[in-house]
Amino acid sequence: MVMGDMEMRCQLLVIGGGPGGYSAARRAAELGLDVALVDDGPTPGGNCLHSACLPSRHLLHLARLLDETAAAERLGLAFAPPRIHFANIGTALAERVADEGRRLAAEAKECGILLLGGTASFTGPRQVRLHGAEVSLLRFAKAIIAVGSRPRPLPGVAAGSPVEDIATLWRRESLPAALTVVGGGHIGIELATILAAFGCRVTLLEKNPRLLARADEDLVRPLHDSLARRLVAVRTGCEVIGVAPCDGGVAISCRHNGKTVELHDLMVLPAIGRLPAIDCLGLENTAVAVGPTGNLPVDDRQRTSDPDIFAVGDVVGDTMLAHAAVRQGRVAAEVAAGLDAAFDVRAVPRVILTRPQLAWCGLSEAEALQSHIPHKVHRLAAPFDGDLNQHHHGGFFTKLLTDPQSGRVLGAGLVGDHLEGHIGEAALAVEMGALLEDLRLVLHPYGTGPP
Amino acid sequence: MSQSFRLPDLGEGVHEAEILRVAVAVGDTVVEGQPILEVETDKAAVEIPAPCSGTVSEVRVAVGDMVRVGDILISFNSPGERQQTGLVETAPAGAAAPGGDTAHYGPVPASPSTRRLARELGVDLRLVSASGPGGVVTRDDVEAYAKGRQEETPSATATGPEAPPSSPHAAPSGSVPSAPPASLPSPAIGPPPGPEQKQGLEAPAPALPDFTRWGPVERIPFRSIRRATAAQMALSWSSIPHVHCEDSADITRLESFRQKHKKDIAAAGGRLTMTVFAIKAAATALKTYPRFNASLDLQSREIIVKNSFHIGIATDSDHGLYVPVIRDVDRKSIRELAVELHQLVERVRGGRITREELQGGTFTITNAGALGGHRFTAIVNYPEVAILGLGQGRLQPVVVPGVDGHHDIVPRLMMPVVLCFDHRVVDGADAIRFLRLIIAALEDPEELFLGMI
Repeated sequence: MVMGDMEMRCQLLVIGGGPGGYSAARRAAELGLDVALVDDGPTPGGNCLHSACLPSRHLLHLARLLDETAAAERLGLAFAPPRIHFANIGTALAERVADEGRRLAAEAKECGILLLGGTASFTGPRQVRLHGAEVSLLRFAKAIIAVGSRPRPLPGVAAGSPVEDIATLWRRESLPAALTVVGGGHIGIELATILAAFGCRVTLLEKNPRLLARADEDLVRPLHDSLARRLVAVRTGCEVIGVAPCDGGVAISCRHNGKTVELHDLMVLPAIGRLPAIDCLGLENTAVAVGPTGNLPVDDRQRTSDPDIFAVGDVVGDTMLAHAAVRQGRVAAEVAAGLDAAFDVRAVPRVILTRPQLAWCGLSEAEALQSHIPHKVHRLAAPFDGDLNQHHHGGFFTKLLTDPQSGRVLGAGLVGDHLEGHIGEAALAVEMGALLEDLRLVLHPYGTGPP
Repeated sequence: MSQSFRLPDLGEGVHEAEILRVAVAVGDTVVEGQPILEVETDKAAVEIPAPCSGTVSEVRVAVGDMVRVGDILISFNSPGERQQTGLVETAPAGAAAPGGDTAHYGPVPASPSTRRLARELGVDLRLVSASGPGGVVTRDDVEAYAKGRQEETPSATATGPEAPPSSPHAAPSGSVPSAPPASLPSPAIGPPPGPEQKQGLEAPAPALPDFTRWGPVERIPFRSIRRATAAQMALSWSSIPHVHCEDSADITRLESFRQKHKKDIAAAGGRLTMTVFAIKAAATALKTYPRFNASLDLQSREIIVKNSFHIGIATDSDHGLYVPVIRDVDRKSIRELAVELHQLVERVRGGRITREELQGGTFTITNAGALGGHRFTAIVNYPEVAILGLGQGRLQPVVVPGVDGHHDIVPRLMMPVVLCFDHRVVDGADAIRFLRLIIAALEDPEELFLGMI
């Protein structure tokens, strides 16, 4: 062996230190496996920590503060206009990210996880070559692929176009005065909400006929109306086909109602979904089968078509949610350690932190209709409440889907505010097989929430 | 209307099956009742008829696949009306979805912790009867189901929750005369590998060396009957303290009787073999010593003595070892037994034996004589108490009392017999008495036939 060609062995190799990979490594270490975690970020945490979940939660919190302090004036509490120093916001956020990253790294070391910086590519079914790491060849008994996803690139972008990347947006010195967000999914509308609160004139374009195509239409409608009031424009059914620089800004070509239109703005921020980041992974040297979107299909034990190689998180290409990835990671680790675990979740909760907020879990009405699943829809003014007749805000409502025969709760959709707690309650009901009556008989405290 | 055909419950204790034959392909038109699949459960092949008429839209299984009860096997597009056993409507065409009075849409309602428990106990939630509101399966339901299953296989408590889920009646298999029991390392043979089986880093047995280092090897799938036999043998050997009791029977007279009547029996469609006489002799001995016709129930701390006499006959075939059962042997004549045994053996060898014919034995006989086997030991066919082995009768010099107080050495046809028994239920003295009674019956055909009266 020559210097620089260091070879190592481990029982479990985890590729990617995001929520899925990190939780897998931790769980496996807890179970006594000898674990190596390969990650190419400055610290573990993945996109979620460094560029996606945490930054957007942080900025959504600030956006909420801005909105609420502005609204407080109506209630007689006036604040001076906010002085927004976006560079300072970025610095504070960067510190928070770095703190959290250091905490994860320290915790990993404490658990006995071997952290290796760099990227990994398979050179055989049981070995990877590492790039940028102190070890160059790693042999493993089992591996968990948790490499996550990357933004889907916007098509037709001409060189020199002012296109910002959502991963680096918050590191800017300042925000542009106006900007077009392309993509009306979860990420796009949260970004539009943040940017609008910071005073940016935002235009939102969505290819589908409506925003948030995954959610039930009645849940999305109040949000659409609210965004239409806050943003410059919300255009649905509008597909971006080209982006080019034009004097001081950007020209965006779109296909809208069969016609090609050109829009002008200062900057474009694409958020048209994410793709599994499997390039350079060398999967052709393994028995791992790749799915139609470049995703890695797995069974309920998170096993790929090679039963000793697992995949968790965004690379599986299903929910692309951090909390689902965390569970998947734990399941993969437990299965790798010989335990009888499975990803057996019936209600994956989603919360969109916009104004109003949206949340849903379990069976949606659209799915029920599409798959002809018998169901009954119940609409309540406030979440799950049978006793109180709380006055409800414009557009706020709760929808519950039940099994018409048994009355069991199959799914829930909510429009409102502070929904994180409520959606957890709905998820518990679905998971427990609770009846609608059970939810309604639980007492909910009065007088909470905003006026 | 598209319908999915799921593997139906094939009887008590059967949770999975191997696909032996797929008789249809996508696009085929089938009529209700036409055979579409042949599956093999622990031991028996079962032909599955089409549950409805229609066109095959999807075939999800291939020959050699292991499928579990509830798995979707084949989907049909049928003009059809009601669903039947194993059929679930997946996507009823048209606008209004039917009420689906018997269909299960989606997953069985149960809390996450209950689902985890079921997974750990290897319980299929679809098989558990629910006691909760709205059909919710509770933790108690799962535990009760697992316990009920365990009661059928008491030793499951000894081997843990991963014991093979087959009931004792589900997979009787006899001993393997040619294989000394000690050569079956029971801990190495686990339950059938199901999806719930641990596939961890800590394998139960140490990893094998790479045998190809010393020469070419062939890898043969360990499944189906080989696996069922292995599981049954491991269960028996690990839970029953075995004792072997050997002797010989002088069958000179019985053999001449057999030669004399062989042709008559053959004319009646039977085969008069030593096994037939042994069945009769065993019936007499079992009636005299009923503890040998019993099962030990550790759960209830009782010995279950059975009042009927169903004798399993270990039968070698191209597909492996089977133990078909002849019922109520005490009430059948030699002729009837000879005919029935011959037919059973033919059905085993032709692969036409049914599950029912392999179940419910109370005692087993294994005869290695036809293959030329002489002395051997056997493994008790769990959950029975004893097994009788017969070797090949060979002419041997025997010292017999002669005239005038002298002794003569004469050639006699001597057959080795071995009784292997569960020492928890019976003792050596009982076994010797039991075996002597069998030997006496075989040595004295008249005595044997007297016992039949």
